[in-house]
Amino acid sequence: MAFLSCDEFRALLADEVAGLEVPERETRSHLAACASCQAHAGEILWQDRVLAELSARARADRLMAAVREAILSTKPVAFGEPAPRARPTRPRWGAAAAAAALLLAALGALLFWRPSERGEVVVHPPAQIAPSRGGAAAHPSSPEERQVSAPEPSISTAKAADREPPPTPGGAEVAKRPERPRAEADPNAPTASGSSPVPPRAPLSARTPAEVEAKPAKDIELARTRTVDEAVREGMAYLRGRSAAIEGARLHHELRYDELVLWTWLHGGMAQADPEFQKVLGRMLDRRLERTYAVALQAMVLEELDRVAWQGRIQQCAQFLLDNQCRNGQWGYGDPSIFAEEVPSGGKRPAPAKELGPDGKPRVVRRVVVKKMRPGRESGDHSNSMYAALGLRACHDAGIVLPKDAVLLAQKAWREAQIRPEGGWCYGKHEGHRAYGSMTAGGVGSLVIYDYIAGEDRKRDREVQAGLEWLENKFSVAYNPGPVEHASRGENGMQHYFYYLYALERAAILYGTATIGRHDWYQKGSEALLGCQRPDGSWLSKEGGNEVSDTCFAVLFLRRATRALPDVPTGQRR
Amino acid sequence: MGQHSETRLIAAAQGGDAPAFEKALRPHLPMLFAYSRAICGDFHAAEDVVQETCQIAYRKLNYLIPEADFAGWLKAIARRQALAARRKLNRAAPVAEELIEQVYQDPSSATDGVKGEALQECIDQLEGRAAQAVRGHYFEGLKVADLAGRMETTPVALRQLLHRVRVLLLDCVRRRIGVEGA
Repeated sequence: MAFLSCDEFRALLADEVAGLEVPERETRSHLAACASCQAHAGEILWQDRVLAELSARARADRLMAAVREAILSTKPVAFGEPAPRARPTRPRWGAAAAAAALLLAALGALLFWRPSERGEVVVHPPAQIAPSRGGAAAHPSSPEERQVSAPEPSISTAKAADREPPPTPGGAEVAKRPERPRAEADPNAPTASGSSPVPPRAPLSARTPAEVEAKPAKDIELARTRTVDEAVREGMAYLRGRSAAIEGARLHHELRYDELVLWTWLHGGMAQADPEFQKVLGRMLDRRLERTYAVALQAMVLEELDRVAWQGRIQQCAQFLLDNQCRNGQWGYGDPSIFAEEVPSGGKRPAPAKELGPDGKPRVVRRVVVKKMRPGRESGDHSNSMYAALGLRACHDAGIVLPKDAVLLAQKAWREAQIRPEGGWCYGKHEGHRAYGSMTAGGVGSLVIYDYIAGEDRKRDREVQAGLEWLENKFSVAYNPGPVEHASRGENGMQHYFYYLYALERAAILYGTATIGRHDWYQKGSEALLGCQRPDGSWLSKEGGNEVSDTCFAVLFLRRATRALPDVPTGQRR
Repeated sequence: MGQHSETRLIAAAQGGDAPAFEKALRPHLPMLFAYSRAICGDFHAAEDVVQETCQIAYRKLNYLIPEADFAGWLKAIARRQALAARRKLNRAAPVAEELIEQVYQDPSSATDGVKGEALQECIDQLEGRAAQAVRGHYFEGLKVADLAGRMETTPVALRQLLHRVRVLLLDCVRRRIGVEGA
């Protein structure tokens, strides 16, 4: 590749602006490396804009007449119909066929219309409306219900039962576990997907979470040895077996299983070429971007798969997340954003990335700037917000340049919502509410992510330190510590227990610590998880649990699915 | 046009009032054309892009929430259409795509403001072949080869002339802003 001088570059830029072909690689490469030429190019493009706007202004009537002609043959589609695809206005003689197709689509949609809480019309294809656990309706009845009564995924709306004491080793649950032949697993063996293997760990005993909590890790008797890999393999087998059942079902009234299951399969070692993986991936890509949890997880999945090949779709996710950021910096369940739909996705089978970066992941060759296109709702919740942060981190790593003000606003929202002097977080910012484990772990993880995106030093972040102190003081792998906001009773319950453990894993890995205070979170957490895995390979919380999501969270914890963040070299103080 | 009147016009258009849609659209047409042209690199293709963009926007109007950024939405549609048009012209993506996005980040007209007005004054001062080149290229949409033919010069010479005129205009704007700012 020939290197260009600044004069050569500027002449080529003039050609590009004039609509002529220029040697792309050389021009791009010079532009990327030369700050003065970037400034010059910015000026030339601005000048080009003014000239073109003046030209359009001079022809405004003619342009408007052409537009009028185009919209005469067009009718707005009702909200809720399948989003129309862009199609050229010429040739026009296919308009009759298009109109007929539109009419058929509208008739089809009418069959499933029902008014939403905002007075809009939302289509729910029959397969997507499935009763949630506990017999609750799949669709929320009001915005308040969506914002308040259903805080986290995997929660049944049925009242939580009293917390049962965890089963003891050798007790009924363990005794019922059928004897299965266990292949010798090498914890260092590469996984089918080629992802990093789980680091070697000592065999773990089948202890209940409470017992693990009660004893230091080193004192635990090895009553029945199993390895993390075995537990993961069984969990993965369980999830694969449930694949048909999860199709079209909803994990929670706002969240389908697909994204969480794909994220888990990706880390649990399922090959990407596996037909089941491809089926669920295709299903995910076919759907509109609708809800914060799902979109954030989708960005994570695609970034992990190939952040360069899927950059277009990841950009859509970023646009969705930005457009759904609430005015106070949080996220709620989210609504579809037409601006996200306008971003070209790059298709369903993009070409894989050509180059790998030093971290072994595809090298990002193109940075894409996104900006918020619409105001969000007034406020959201910390559960959606923590997943939004994970999604935004994936977008950031995929070369999507997020607006600084959105990042700072999100950071500010977490900081301001920290409950003082406790140092933790609850689900929403409610007067008199106290902090609890899953939200506090989520808060630490989210703030660390925003520190990373903003180039700040997480080790000097006061709110992060206070959150970690809370997690240390209340440390538990036996329950979700603190009073869970929507639990029916008391503190330290099993509500969102597995959701909490996965949040704990993220907080610790993102921050970059093997221990929370004096607690070896992974050793203790893995022991707890191995001790309470069910005979069919699944995990299920005793209070308001869901086998699929609980199993996903457990596998993700055991696999240490979260990718660590690089340190900030300059040690910036916020 | 203020934000409120635009919101009212869009609400009316969502109720089926096509003239209201035209009224809401009209102030954004120059920006849309300039943006589309910057991306697809062709004057006439950009006109088609504007037409397609407005048609799509009208069809999807009910998806727009009232407080949303209408100009930004139009721009998002135009971007997609312009990139498709560029592909049809067998051209690779624009080399300065990120800069284009930065330059068009603010969708309000670039001809307003001190700098925009200074540039207009500088353009008005162009004479002779420089003025002929700018008029032919930007206002009549002539391609370099056709314009070179009309001006009885070679395409290479015309490219150089356009390049020189652009640099001249930049200097002129800098001088004017400098003088006014002093």
